[in-house]
Amino acid sequence: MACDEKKRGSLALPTIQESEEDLDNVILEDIIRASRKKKECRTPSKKISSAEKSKSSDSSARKRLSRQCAEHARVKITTLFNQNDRYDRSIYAVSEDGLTSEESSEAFQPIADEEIMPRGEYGGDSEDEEAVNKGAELFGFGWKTPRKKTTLRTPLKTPTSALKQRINKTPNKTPLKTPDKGRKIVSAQTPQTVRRQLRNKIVKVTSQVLEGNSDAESNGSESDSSSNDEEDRNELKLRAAKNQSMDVTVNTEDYFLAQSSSVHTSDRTLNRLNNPRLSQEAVDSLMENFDDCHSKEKILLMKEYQQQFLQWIFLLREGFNILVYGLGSKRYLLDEFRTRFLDGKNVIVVNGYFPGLTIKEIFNSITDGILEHSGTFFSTVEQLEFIEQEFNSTKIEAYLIIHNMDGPSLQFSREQEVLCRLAAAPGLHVVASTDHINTPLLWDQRKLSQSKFVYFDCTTFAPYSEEISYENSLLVQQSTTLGLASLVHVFASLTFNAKAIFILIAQRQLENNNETNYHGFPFHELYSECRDRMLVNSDLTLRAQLTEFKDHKLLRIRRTPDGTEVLHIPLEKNQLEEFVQKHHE
Amino acid sequence: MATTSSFSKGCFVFKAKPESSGKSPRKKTKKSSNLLHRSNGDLNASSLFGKCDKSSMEIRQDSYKKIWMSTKKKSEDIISDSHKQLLHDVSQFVSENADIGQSSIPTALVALGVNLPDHAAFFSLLDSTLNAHVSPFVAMLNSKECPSLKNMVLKAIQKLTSCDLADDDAEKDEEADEIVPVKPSSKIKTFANLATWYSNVVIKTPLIIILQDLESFSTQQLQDFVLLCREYRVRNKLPIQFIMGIATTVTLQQQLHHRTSVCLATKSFQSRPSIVLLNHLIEQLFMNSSVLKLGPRLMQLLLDGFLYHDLSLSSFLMRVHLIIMQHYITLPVSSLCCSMSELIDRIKKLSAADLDLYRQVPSFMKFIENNRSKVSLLTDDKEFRSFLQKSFEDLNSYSKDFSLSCRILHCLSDGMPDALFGKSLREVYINFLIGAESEDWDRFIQLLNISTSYELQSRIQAALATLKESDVSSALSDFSTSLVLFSEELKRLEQAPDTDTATSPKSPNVFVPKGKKLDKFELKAQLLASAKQARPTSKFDEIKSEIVSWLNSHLARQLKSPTTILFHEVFYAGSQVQSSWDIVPWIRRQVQPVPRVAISKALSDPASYLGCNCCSSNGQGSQILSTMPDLCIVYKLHTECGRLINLYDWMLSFNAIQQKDKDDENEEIEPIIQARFIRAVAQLQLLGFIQSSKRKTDHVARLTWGV
Repeated sequence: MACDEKKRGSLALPTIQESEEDLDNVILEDIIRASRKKKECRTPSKKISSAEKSKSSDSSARKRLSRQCAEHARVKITTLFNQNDRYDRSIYAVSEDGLTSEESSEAFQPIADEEIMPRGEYGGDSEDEEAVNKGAELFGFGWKTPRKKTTLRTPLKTPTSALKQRINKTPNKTPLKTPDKGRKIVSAQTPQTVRRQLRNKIVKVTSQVLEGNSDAESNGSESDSSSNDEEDRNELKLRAAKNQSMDVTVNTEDYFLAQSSSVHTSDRTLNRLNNPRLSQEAVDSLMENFDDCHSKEKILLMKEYQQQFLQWIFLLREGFNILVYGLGSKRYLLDEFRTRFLDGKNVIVVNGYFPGLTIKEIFNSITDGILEHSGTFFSTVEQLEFIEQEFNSTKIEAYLIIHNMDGPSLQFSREQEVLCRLAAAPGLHVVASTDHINTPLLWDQRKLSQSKFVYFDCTTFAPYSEEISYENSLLVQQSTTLGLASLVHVFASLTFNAKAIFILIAQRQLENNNETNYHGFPFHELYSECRDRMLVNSDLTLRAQLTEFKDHKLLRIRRTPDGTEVLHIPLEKNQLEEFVQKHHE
Repeated sequence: MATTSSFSKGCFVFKAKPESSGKSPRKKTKKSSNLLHRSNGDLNASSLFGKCDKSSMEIRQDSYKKIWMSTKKKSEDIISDSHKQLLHDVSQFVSENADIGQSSIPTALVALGVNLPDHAAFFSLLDSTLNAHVSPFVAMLNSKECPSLKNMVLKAIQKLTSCDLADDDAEKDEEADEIVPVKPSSKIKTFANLATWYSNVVIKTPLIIILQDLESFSTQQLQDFVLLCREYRVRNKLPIQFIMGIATTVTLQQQLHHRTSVCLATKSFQSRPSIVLLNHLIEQLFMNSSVLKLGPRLMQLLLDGFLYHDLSLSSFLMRVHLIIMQHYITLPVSSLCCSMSELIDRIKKLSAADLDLYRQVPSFMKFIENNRSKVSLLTDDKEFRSFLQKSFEDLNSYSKDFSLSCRILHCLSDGMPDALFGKSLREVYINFLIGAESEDWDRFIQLLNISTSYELQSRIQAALATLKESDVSSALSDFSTSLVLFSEELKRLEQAPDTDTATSPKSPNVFVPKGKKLDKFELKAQLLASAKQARPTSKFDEIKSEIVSWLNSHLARQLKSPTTILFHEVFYAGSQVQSSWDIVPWIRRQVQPVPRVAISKALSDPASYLGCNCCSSNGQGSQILSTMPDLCIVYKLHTECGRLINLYDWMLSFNAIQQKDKDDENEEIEPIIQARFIRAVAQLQLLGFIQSSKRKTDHVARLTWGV
């Protein structure tokens, strides 16, 4: 189990440097650092002042500094992003100004830059360079300060985790775990005002602790930042990489800690809410009006990923397949890819998140839809072989887009085996997306090498609205309960006798509605009544009728403690009344 | 296009329009590239290979195709070569046991190693070899296609007989074959049928059944199958033979019951370990005169992937493919990455803009910086062109010498203690590609210094043999002549026993006067004194020191890392340390993809992806800000919990974070907050962080631990 968890981190190499995903960033950081150095050389006064700053032990100055760092870090990230953007563009499009300043700055020392290079040719426009330098300087700042370090370091080992533990120990401070004592005080008698005060206090304390913590941290690394100053780039990069990988190091002992600790959560239930279960429609309609604050950033992200499309097409043509991963729904991205690049080609879109999906359905859409094969197949194996043969021998090409390759109906070894075999066929190009964190466990070596996936991190942050619409959510009112509309539909198709039986049960239920100990219509009573009205002639026919109701969820059959079978219609009173009024004639 | 979401089906088909009829054009359609560049606001850019003008792009695309095709072909040849012996042995075994005399089934057990993806290549080679030399009746079975005994028998019989049918059809008429749907020989369905069918076959060659992955078959099924085959072998004289592929060290006795295993007359065969193949592949692909070589970082990356993960050559080659592709796509200066014969032509064709790109190559910039006198290269295109040609030729001959020097060094250091530069040639090569440590080199020199005449002679001879095998360039020709000289001198020394050695005993190291006993301290003092005394140098020592110092100066010069050479970026993929042309991060993501890390990172630090100012947590990993996406907040809250999470409390804390900024205290949870929370929890469930739990009402179980 522990081993498994470790594997989950990475697809291919679980243990070695798990997180290298942001190496570009690291490299860009280095570049910026380089240019920062340059700038420092030009303006030595600045360096001194910053050094002075960092040396000052005055706590208020430090606070100011950390605030600055925060600001700087923000700017830094934006700069990084711009650069990322530029990096991508430089791959796929013509760069108008030749190389941008980061590139040239890498090799050119400060003087050479100005003296030899005609600015317009090599340096990019001056504004650009200015921005980069600024970002670089800021970045250097952010880099050296501990704040950056803490981002990268695993929270397990940082004081924050200690802090967390501390909070956990004081039960009434965490809003999530409200162990019994705290809960009693809070929920039972305490008036609103006291509770509010308490909460404000918690927030205050927490933020204080957090601040103090960060201060302590900044102390620590300010001292080593000065020694780091002359550190060469390689070392720096290594450290960054190390920090990055620490970010995801899974401490196996945590598993045992988590499993051995006794679970104490509060006993409060959702019934405390005004409306414990919202219906799916209600959630949908509420969410429609809700707009996310990061829509601009998300669009930018999406645009960035869309620039990879040409590369995708090229890779697909070269016999590779594409697999996109990362947080957020990738449906829109893949749809965009399909409409923009695969228009007018053979495309099969498979919604892996669709619960009723079968491999047979995928096969059928390929053989019927694309290959236009009229015959039938004895087994799926045969069908698969036919598909493979067709795509191997003929020139025909098709693109298979699989949303959620790890969806509920595809997450089995056999299904994955088949999909990978399809991906291996030269004429079939697969573009797939995965979301589940344990997806890598689906593939063994053979499948991996068969599928020839090229991986792309497409973290879109888009909501998984389509994907979760099929899933029975935990908090949503289950729609398995009977709706009046469905009752009406089913009822219309019943025979006269069956209708009469159902009305009989409904009337009895309405008559006894106010009685609290009414469990349902006893079966034997119903039988005798039905016989009297000549609706059924035997026990069996009545049961047959009831089974039909049951199958349509119009009726629930239960046994009371004394052993009698009782029948109950799972419908609200007013709905049932309305229904009986309508149909009782 | 139509929508692709529906409540009733999960598959949607978009059929190609008849005019394009599915056969997409080989190059990117104009439309698609236009579309892309419309979004970039640049209509002139031509394609993925971007950046330069059209001709450069085409050149790069062509060179990519050429290089990849040649690499692919070479590697295929190497792999099939390396299997040659094994294939020969196996097919010989099969033909030797062709007679029906013995009752047990002749079985070849082929141990192939754990690199499962590579087995397919071997078996397809085996299939063709057997078809060509031994028998057309070969059935290749795979555990995946034989879930039950019935399937297994059917498949085996179908494959055995279909080979024959295919041959017949090919002889008769091919058209008939095409019309007949894929359901060959459906009449023959049992072993009894097979026996009658076989009795009509003219050429009685053995029926060979290949089980590709022995371990994956269920034991019972395998036993039944073996017993069945043996029964028909004995009774109906069907000359059935088995070839079984084994990946691990499982023996047949472990896999099968004794009753079954006695029916098999086994012989084991062993393929070469894949690491040997890899060494061979690297030597042939990158150390010989290949155009594109791998830079140190990429080489290391690929090796890590190979050694620590899959040991699979096919994945290795796939990564090489990606590297070659990415090198030509990403590197605008890759247009000159071609064989020397094409170089002059291509340099002539370079436009001014292209030349400027070459001027931005980091190693050239460094060069200019150190040689200010060459500044004119930056402005004078003509001069730069000739300079380019010269440095590229230099680089080419350098890399040839480099590989050869590695070979020589490997010969010289072979068998030395500690395996300083690695045991295999591949290790030596990679060590020096990265830049070997000077300590290792010093130790190497030391070890040479203390080696005996015989050792030295044999090492030099080995090095000379290597030199003879390869064509020696000008830089290394004097190398070989001096080596020959040295070896001759050593030989002369051996033949004429040294006179010095005869005279040396005259002065014994420790002089002990007769009759006088030395005490411990005196002895020590004397020994120290004699150690200080310069030992008389023999002729051999002279020659040896000469050899060593010569090697130290000459060989070391040849072995400096390619990353120090001008324009190495063009020929050594992924060798730039920093630049937007760097392909290493991209490749690294392919070798070690980290989907889970990406998700965790996005959840715990959304600002790293979104790049917004509001969510940057300033290093406080656990800090929760109300501006973060709902999913992130809910995720961060859930990491504070144990195995079970109370949904109500969870929702309250979510509400608290959302209401943090507002002063008016409101215990009531607004419906919108509730809806957002519901959404976020459902998404977390989709991602696999939580699942519903029945242990307590309104609780969910957490599926991960730690953070």
